[in-house]
Amino acid sequence: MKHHTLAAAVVLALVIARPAVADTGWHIWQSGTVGCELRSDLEQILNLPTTDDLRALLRELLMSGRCFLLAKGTEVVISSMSEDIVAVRQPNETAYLYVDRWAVQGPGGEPSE
Amino acid sequence: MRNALRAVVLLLGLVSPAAAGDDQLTAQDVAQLKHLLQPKFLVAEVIEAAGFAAENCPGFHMIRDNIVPELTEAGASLDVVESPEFDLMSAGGRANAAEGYAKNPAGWCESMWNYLGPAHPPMVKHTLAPEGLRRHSPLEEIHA
Repeated sequence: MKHHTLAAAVVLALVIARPAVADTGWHIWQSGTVGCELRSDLEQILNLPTTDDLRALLRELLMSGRCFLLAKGTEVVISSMSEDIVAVRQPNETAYLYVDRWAVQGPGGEPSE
Repeated sequence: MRNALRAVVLLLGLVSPAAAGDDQLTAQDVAQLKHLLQPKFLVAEVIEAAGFAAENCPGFHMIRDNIVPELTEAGASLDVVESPEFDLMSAGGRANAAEGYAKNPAGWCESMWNYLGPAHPPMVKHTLAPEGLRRHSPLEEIHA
């Protein structure tokens, strides 16, 4: 009984100690996900209603290289995460991009939590 | 002026940041900007970006047969294409593309592939880069 308790405690400690972010094996699961170098750019895109103005803004951001379109299945490494935005980078890149948190899926198919 | 429009205006460099930031544009200014930001003029940027990508991104080819349909769908008639507004947006599109490419060639080319290729978002009406001729990053080209 004592061993079981100890084992459970160890498992629990490992689970708690497991970093919630910075894991590999995550990927973009939504086609055409927008990732922006500046959090403020992504916030504008996510929070503004879909209008011609917003589409024009997105076009400008993409073409000027401030934001990027990420393909479905793109592997990413997660860094910081907030309520609705997560910072990710591609394994071969050093720069992080801010993306919609719900556009990222974990190794087991779970959404970012 | 709404935030998105203000941001677009700033990105396009149509007015000084101070003027746009302070909401000093008159209703007439906004009307003129809205005129410029119509799809029939904005499509000029898409075509320019596709052309720039075809010139600079290894493995990226443009489907030229889809240019006219893309223009037509955006409402860009021959008169529009020959207008000063269209020229202005073309120049802006090319400058933006050059800026984006200069900052991160591989990333920009990849992004343009996703923007103009078969999985393009709905704001692009026709595939402007063909399937099968997938992009390669300059780094991949070097190592090939």
